[in-house]
Amino acid sequence: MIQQYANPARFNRLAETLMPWLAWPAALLIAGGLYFALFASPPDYQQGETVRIMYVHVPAAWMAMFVYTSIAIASAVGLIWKHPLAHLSAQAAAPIGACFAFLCLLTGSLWGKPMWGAWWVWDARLTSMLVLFFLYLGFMALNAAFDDPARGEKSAAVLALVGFVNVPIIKFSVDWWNTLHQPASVLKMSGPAIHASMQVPLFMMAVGFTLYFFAVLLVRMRTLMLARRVRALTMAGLRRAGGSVASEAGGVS
Amino acid sequence: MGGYAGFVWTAYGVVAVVMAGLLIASRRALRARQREIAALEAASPRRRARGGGGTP
Repeated sequence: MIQQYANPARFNRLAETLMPWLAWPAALLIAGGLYFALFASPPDYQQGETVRIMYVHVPAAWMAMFVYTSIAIASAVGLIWKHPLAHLSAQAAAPIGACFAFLCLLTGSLWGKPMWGAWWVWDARLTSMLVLFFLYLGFMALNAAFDDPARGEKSAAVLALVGFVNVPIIKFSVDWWNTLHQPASVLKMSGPAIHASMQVPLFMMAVGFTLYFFAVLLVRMRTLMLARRVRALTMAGLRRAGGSVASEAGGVS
Repeated sequence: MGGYAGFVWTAYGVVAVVMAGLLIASRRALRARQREIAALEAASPRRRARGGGGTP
């Protein structure tokens, strides 16, 4: 069933059908989440108003890891089963994930300065998230580094898979090492440790960001499919031009 | 905001700019590719449309 969406026309129709179901809920959830995050939720008893940064920092972190995981899965599918859209979806997703990783680092820094007194510390979680950001950049660079796009795709896919070990490291860093970053308060064995008044905006923003990701992913995948077609048409045009030149010269290529 | 307003609003501001910017840039790139494709398909010969022509 997934194979049929390798056809660009079908994929475009699917993307156009899905887009309103992604874009509108994303916009509403993010708008609602922002209202709760900035106005209708309590300040933290220790951190005061800076806790509001959590409502963008944590969803950005979750998205950075989720998108990287998707890229790793897509890369594996592309390498093993060679589905035509696998590598393409990974390439489309990478800049979005890189943006989320960057936002996680930046908002974390803006939270760390007032709370910890430092813009940056080489703590396990911060460092492993920085590594994730570099992995995203490396993935994007490798894809673009070869004249033959297929070689670029393969190299980048291998990097994505090798780098995937970093994702559980980020998750468990606060358990495995002595970290300044606070330990897990949502996804832990004994259940979430944050109050509902904070859980609601946090989950609204997280789901909103996820829908935003899928919406932008579809746009970028359509763009990449068109870019492939542009290359194919340009190559065909060059071959035609080359053929007519050769026949004018009376030679044979 | 207890003196933290600068940090909080800067964080939200950068998030808004980056996410909006990514969306806008992605849509602009899509439209640019769509225009390119339209131009290329208009320029390339339509083999099927030619009546009875030889094999390409």
